[in-house]
Amino acid sequence: MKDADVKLLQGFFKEIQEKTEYKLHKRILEAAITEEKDFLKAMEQELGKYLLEVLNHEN
Amino acid sequence: MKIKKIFIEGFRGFNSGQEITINPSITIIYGPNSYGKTSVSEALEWLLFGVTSKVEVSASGKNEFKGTYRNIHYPPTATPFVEMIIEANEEEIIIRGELGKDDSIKRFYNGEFVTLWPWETPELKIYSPFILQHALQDLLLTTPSNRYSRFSQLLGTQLLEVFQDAFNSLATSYNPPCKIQIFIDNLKKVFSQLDDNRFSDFKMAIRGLNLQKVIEALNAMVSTTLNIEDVNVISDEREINAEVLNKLIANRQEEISAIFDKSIVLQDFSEQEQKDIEITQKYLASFITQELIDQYLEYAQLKAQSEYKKQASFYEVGLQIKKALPEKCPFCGAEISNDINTHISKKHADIKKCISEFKELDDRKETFLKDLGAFTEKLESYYTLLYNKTSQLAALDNDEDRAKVVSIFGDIELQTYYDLMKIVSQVRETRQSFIEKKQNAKQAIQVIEDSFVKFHQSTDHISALGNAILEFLSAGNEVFEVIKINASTVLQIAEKFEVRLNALAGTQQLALLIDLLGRFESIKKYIDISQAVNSMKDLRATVTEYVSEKTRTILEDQLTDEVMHWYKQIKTTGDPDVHFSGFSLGGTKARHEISVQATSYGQELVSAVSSLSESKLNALGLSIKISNNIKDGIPFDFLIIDDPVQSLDGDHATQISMIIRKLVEEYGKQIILLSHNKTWLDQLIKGNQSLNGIYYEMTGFDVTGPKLSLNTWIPWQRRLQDVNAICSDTSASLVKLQQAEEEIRLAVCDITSILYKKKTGKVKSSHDLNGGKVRSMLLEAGLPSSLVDRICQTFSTTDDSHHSGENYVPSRERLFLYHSWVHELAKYLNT
Repeated sequence: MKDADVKLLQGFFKEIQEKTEYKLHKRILEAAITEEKDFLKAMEQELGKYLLEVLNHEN
Repeated sequence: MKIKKIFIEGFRGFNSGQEITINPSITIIYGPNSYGKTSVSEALEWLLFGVTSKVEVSASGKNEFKGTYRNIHYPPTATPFVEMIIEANEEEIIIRGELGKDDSIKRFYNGEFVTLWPWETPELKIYSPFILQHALQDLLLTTPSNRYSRFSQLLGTQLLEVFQDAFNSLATSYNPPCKIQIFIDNLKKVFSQLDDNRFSDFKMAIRGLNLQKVIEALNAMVSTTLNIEDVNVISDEREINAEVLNKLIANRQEEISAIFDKSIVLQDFSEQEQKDIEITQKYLASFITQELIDQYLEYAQLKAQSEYKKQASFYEVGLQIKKALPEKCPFCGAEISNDINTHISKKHADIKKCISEFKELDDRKETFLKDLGAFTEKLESYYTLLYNKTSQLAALDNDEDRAKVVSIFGDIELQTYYDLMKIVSQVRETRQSFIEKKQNAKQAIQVIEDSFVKFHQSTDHISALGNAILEFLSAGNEVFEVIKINASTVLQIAEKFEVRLNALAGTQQLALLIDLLGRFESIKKYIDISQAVNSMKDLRATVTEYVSEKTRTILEDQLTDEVMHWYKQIKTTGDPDVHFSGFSLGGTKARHEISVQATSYGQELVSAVSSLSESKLNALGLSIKISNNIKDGIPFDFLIIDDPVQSLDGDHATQISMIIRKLVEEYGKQIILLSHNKTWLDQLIKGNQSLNGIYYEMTGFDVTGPKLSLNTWIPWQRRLQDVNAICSDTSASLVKLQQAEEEIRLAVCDITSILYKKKTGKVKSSHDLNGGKVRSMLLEAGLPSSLVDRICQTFSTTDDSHHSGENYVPSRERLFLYHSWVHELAKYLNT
């Protein structure tokens, strides 16, 4: 993906980040904003990371 | 920015390098089909965007176009490139793109390598300055959903689709990590066993992922089971009440104890237990070292130490008695010689020295015994862990319990019983051996401890301990392995057993309830995890709404108005009243469609695209592109237009000529126009002769590339004829007269350029001349200064940018005067 497209996409992600109130969504979108190559994978990984945190959380 | 020059080498149709000077207003490149016109626009498109739109939108994918940027005849070792001199903010900049092997572009800005052009922004592609025929046709003649995707390319909204697709995938195709999937599957398996009506509220609450309802359902079930109203096994703080839970467990235990009061358990090791076992095994196995053996054997000296101690106490008594009469025997009073006294003193000193040495041995013995104690403790803890793990299963090894297990399993599960008993037998045997080996090890330790009391250290003792430890560890390892191998099988058997036991005792529901309460923390996590995964659908909905809104705004509001503005200028009065009336966004939120609306004599048409003629669709495509390229903030002040009148008749083509003029004069656009339609181009030049552009003609094409020849925009003689005609026309408007005055200046520039070349041999384009430049060129060419002064007067009513002053008024008389001076100047062309 071209740098210009990446920047444009990052702009979309930021706008959605402002629209959502859910912390998990903000977190996933942040991962997409920081990733420059495969933003879907970045979002999936962040979601997976969150789920494992819930699973491993003591009480 | 505007373009001053282009240089293309080795790219598409251009093999040998060619330089093309670009006029600030308009440059026309005429060429028959396949002479390489499109190569020019593609070279510029590639330079600015790193890819051509033909490759980018190709349905057949980029592979088909791979390697096609490079001219096939270009030397393989050379690097094709496209270079452009641009003028931005009154500064000249050279931008150059070198073609890489993978069709990539390597950008150079004023000779410096850059990854992006400085003006590149995320939205830049939306304002691509290329108006290409293939793109216009593709845009409209397709299905509404395909049209959406192609408009996306044009409007730059295709990224919105990529964006939306990602969230669709996250909401529908997300695969959680393996650990999470196993966790979810396990709980779902538990929930699937809840087929009794008593669990229906609970199951509904789980389906709805509603933790509060789950708590309410569990509390209600517990109240019913214990027959106590409003008993809460889960508190408001969402924690389990251990007392209530234990009561439930006790109730069940009471019921099933009547049938079977033991447990089938062979619990596997936790990760921590496994780590501890490994450490302990290493410690026990490495306890006996040569150093330890040497140390232990030293303690044989303890016996001698004991003798010395006795002697020391004896001497101590003697010395005390002797103290009263140092020179006489304390028993008979006889005198003691000096020699004897010296002997006694020496002996006493020797004994004191020995005792001090033995003191160190005593300390070492204490440490040794302490280490042996620690070793014994470790051995015991290792033993206890393995012993306890196997206790419950080993306890089943009696006839009475066997008979009970068989009766509980029943005939259908006899094989399970045999499997269980096989494991019980293995456990019992390895366990028994382990118990014996532990006793041996303990005895060996005891022998060593006793050796300190008996003053009898021997290598045999330490060897016996070494052997006992090895056998103990080996037996322990066998127990460990038996547990590891069989733990999961025993668990499965135990689960089956529990089911049958509950069935016999009537405690199935109670057992499930206790199981659910035991898993309450997991259930909470299950709900949190499922909610998090489900929330991706909410996120998708937010994104879908956002994309729809953004697209609708771009399409229905902004684009329709802007396109209509230009479409109206292309249509002619003679056109049938069947016209484009706007765009609308349809389809679903997940799959957009774009409809092109049209009306026929006021009536809305059902299928606008099929109702509009090809020429109107072409006009519409042009309007879309033009409207998109005249917005503020676009870095490009130029437009590259490829064959805009392909399907238009004469009247419409004339309208396009007017639009091109408007784009130059009103919108300040620099136009590079490529066309194969010579008649139209001639008309365009005639109608726009004051634009004084550059006109290239592609006269041929061979292996080196297209042959470009530079033609005069309008011959100066023709300009002067036109001026004469206007001046002679008494009804000519002031605007016409003003245009005629500009024509005179253009003729002066052309003649000056020709004269200058003729007299000095040097070439200077006529396109960027002004009064000052004309003066110096004519003087350098040797023309009389009186004539030069008069000629330069023709520039007195405009500035260098050819703009007239505020008080300017055209004058027919002045024009006639100028006209005669220019004719006088032209005579020097023949001298």
